[in-house]
Amino acid sequence: MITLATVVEMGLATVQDGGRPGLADVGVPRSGAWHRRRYLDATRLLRGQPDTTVPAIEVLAGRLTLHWAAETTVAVVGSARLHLDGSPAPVGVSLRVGQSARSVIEHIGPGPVYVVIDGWDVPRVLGSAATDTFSGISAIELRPGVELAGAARQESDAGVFLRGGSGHHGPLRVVVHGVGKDDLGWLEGPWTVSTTARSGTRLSGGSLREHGSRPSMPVVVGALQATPAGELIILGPDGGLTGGYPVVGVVCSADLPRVSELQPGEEVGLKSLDVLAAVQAFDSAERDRRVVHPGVLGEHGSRQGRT
Amino acid sequence: MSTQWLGDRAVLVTTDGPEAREAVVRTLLHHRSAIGVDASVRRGMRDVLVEVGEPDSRLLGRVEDALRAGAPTIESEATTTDHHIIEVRYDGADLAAAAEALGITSSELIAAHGDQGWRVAMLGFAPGFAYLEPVGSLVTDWTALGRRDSPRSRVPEGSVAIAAGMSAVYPRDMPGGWHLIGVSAIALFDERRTTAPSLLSAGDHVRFTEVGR
Repeated sequence: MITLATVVEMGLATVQDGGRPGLADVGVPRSGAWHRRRYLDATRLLRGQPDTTVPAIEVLAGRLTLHWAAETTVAVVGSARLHLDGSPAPVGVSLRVGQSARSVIEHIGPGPVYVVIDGWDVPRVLGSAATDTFSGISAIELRPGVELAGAARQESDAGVFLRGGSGHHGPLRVVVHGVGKDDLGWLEGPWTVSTTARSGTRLSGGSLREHGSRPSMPVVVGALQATPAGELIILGPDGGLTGGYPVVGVVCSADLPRVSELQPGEEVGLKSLDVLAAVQAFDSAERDRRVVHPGVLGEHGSRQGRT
Repeated sequence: MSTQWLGDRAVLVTTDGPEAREAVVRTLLHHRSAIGVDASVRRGMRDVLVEVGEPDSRLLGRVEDALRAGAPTIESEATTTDHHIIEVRYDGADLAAAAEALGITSSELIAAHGDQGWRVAMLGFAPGFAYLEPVGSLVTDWTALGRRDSPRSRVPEGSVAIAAGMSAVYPRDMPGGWHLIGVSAIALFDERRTTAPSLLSAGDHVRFTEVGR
């Protein structure tokens, strides 16, 4: 193990990966990358395929400055400005960084920015490097001065970039559930984001009033809980696993990453989608993603890279 | 019993109550490999959730097939229910007030809490936090006591509490709105125990016993 980089300054950022699926029955949330598509794209840039074991720095706000202590490959995915030794550098591409270089990643948003580093090794807690902001389970705490350690020899290509659509726009698509199916008028809101966090995103303003509570039921990431005060809470990756508020719908898996892009004050549209269409939306969003190696581009840039 | 989608990768089975819920859990675990290789089965108070990692339009049909097929009777399968005994020092800050709300004395509450059989209905709220529901005949009407009007911002680890017909032991320092009746030294959750981080699993049976008086 050698030091690959040192954190010089940082805003709001944690270490994330694919999280801890399958531990909900012992009270441990999945946690992991909030914007799963961007995270998986970042891992594609290093590994050529999605890899939920790759640790990433998830930047939610502010600047992340890293001082490099060894040569390696780094990739930044998301809305960010990247400077390498003072010069602008592209995001969405794997880049070689040299010893004693300095990189500044400035979060622009909306949504999380992911930084992956070839060779970076993080201890795992319950099988994952993810930082669970609600449960307090974490492998390492990021702060200025922390050294990112790992393997000296790395193999990732530099210059690999991403191709694929920017995904679905428009209203968040919801599979309605329970009392939410009775009358779909509540979807129209209008809903406005009041707060956002990895544990949950609150929407307010709609006319939904659900005064009833029910015996606590298991809930899933993306569940829309209706509170007695007329708010909607969209559960995030660090959210609760059971809840007594009625669940009126669940954001479809294809649109879950977009929840992490919501910002306070923003108006959100909601739209009902049946399960079959939700599955198709997820499949097409996944099929869309690919990485391209500079060497395999055809004359018209039409050849597909390995996916 | 009803089954319905909860989003695009989970199905919720709602039952009449804990006994029906346990039967559904046994059936679904028996057929788990047919439902999905990564299918997880979780309990609520009266619900069972089946969740898979990626959206799958056939999940509801497979869950319904499993429920139709049923499972062998409980005698013919290895039962994996664990029984735990948790030692409690009954000196909680809310002991007297909780007893009064239940219409009994503090010592009657202590005796009732120890005589009552408890079962882990589900885990959640925090890693290792087990919601214990009464099992067998009720020693007292636990539902006569609700949650505290105002939750505490910090309940110490090991606190033994009751509220809303249930009991629990706080696995660590955390906020909480249940009535504190005692304290236990038991280690409920240890993330270093990678194969079994939580001492209690859903379906386990728990007995409380008084120490240190």
